[in-house]
Amino acid sequence: MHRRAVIALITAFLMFGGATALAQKYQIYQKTLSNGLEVIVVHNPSVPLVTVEVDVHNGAYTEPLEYNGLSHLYEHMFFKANRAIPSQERYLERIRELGASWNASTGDEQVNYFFTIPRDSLVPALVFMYDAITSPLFLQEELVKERPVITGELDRAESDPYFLLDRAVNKQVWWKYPTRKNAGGEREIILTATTEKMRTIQNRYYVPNNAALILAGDITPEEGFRLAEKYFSSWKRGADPFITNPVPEHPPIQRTESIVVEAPVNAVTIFIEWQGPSVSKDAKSTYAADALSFILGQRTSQFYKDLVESGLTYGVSLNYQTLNQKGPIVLSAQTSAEKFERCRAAIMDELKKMGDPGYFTDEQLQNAKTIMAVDEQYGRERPSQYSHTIGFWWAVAGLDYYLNYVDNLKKVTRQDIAQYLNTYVNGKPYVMGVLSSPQDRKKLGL
Amino acid sequence: MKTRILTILVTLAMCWVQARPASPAESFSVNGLKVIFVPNKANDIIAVNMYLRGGSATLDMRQAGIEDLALRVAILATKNFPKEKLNAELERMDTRMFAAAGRDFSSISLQCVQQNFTRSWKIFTDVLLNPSFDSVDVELEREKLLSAIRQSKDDPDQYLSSLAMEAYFVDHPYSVDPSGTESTIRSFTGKDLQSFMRGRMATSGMLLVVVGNTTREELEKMVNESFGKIPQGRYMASLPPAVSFQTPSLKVVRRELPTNYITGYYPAPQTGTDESYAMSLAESILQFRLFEEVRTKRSLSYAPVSGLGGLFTNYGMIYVTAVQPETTVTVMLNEVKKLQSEPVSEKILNDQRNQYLTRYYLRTETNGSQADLLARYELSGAGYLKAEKYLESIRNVTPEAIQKVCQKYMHNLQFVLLGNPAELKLAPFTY
Repeated sequence: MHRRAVIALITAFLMFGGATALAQKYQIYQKTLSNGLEVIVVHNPSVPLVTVEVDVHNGAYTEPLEYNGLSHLYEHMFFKANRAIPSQERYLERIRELGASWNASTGDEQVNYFFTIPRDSLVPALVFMYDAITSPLFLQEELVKERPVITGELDRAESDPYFLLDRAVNKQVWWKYPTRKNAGGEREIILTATTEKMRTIQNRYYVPNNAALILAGDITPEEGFRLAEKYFSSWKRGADPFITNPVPEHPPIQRTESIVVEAPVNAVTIFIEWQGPSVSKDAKSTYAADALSFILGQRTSQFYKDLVESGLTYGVSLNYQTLNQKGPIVLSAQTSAEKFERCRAAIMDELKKMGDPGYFTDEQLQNAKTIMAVDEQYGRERPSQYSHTIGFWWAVAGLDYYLNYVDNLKKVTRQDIAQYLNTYVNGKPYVMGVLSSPQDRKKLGL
Repeated sequence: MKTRILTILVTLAMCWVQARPASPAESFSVNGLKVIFVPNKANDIIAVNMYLRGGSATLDMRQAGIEDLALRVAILATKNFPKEKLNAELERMDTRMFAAAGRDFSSISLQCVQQNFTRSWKIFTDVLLNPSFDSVDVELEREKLLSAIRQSKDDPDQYLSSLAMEAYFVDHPYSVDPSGTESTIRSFTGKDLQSFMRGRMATSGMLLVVVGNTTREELEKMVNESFGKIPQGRYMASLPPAVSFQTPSLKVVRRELPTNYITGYYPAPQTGTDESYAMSLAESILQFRLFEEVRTKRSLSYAPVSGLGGLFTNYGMIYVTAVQPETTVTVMLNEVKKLQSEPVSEKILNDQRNQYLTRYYLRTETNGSQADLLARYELSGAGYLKAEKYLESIRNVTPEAIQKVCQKYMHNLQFVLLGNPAELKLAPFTY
């Protein structure tokens, strides 16, 4: 996981499930309704707001080619007509009446929707959320109108050279099922989406036993559970979508290869990606991966000194993104065309040394754990982020993983890090993408 | 809506929004250094921000970027904390230090937990008063900055913003880019940086804002020990002049992109004035209407935006990415005209105020953001106390006031388009 992402994500968290005392300390409470909906309440009355969020196990990982991008389109259609609201115009007006700050996002393994509202708007906001999540109409007219909005979003993404690099590398790393790592989706699929396909997604994934309702802010657990029961218990349970539609496993990268992406850029970016651990299959390696990233991110690290203080790069990082369907491990560095070859060689040399016993000190390993613990305090400063953070972890790893994250990271040893590197990085095939201008490319010899 | 657009909106809006201190802010002075302090025992985090008044608006073109480079190098090593020691200590405590250079002011900020406050303060003050400016650090940071300047054109949004600032602030103090140019960044020596930094350490040109779990007594003692004997200087605050255009304009910068990036700037009222609150609500209502008319009803864009810039001599802007620029901008300007010709209803105004309340709380969640927002009001001349009365001021805004500020300010927009439209008529951009 990216270091700063970890900081943001672990922030609020804290021990729950098996560690009830810690859960209470951090005011996080959980209950499952009879229809299977997980309700998570985060009590933090520091400001008179409540965030009402619904997370769904959906996203790119559920998408074969013919559905690629439709979790994302569905996310957009959430903000349109439903059984109680006749049009998107009225929908937006209602959001304003509620005084809501709102948004949604679609990722590889999660889709979320949220409204942050003044406490006084809590009940109408719950009703509003319930109607939107359970009864979208998918009016053909609105579906057609939303297509250019989505392609406009893709246009923006494709204007970003780093998006192009990331997409090109991902296609090779996840070569057999690339659509299942492409949340933005394919234009052709989005432009030909039908109401029927939207209904298929709804019936398959938008069932309470595949979702979580998170209520965070100025709300007690008693009130949260009572209101959740009152307003969400009539949402009808469905079949487990992952039994009827299992997600295929990404096969390993076939061979190490390099690709070059040309764009009008003014630096050379090196982007090396491996297939990393799946959290449900190898949780121990996910902690080791994060500990290593925290070590390498320190300015006293050999990694930083050899690659940044040496002047070979303007910046470098090695991160793992926690996911359940093999998260990516990415080494990213920026350099100049003139230094590219030396930089690449130095990176490869660094990777070879990374497993050596003396590569990092005991103090740096301890610092990594301290940083984690303090970052957790920094993260808790932002109550509005709690629900998103919790939603992400609920979706990709489960709440228990998330609540025990800090404790488990503290247990990481040198041997764990070495094993992680040996299992996923050292000698393993990878894809190296290089982003360069056409002029610089001539100097790179690629 | 995805994160990036949200980021644009939040960035634009956050600049000027109000602080909601955990407790009332208090202020005191030590050797001419004004200190604003907000005790907050709700968490163990302490935010310490030292602001240097003036920013790049007080520099000439040849000095552009000197403050950015100086501050970036200053936080790397000091007389009493050589690089290795400084890094090791910061990592051991997970104390963070950031440097930022802007047009109106610059800052070095510190974030730490309460138990590490005393030690972190020693490093922080040594960074300000005894930076080493080691030649190796200077060269490394210089190379990073040069690369960042070159790369600023790679991202269309960043490039558009830079082009728009250039087109809007012509022959104006804000035309001095705080990041500098390749030429100026290459020209500074280590001695230049050291001398510049030493000159900035005069208390009349500094403002310290602390928010967190400490006491005034402890803070006052620490400030006195560190800054009680440094020069006071004679800093005189002055706001950059207002910008006024007699005609609208459009500048097109050609680039092969899948869509066109477009923005138009107009003047906005000074912070803390009655007009500024009316403009904040006007901008917010316009944002809602642009989303509805451009995106929801016509599907012309994923990303129509209305916002305020966040400078002391402020500007407003509309922004969009669109494959049909003329049609899209016409719809956007029609909404501007509607705000000027028709007062908003009381219902819309009330709803908008509700959304403001929500945003108000969301934007003041961290101690660091509270410190920054209090400082913005103080440094702009409005005074930090006005920041605490923001909601009251918003409640007093009337539909007539909104209409009036729109009529007064939203004219002669200075447009910039980055993209490659086949044909472009000037008329739709002329307002």
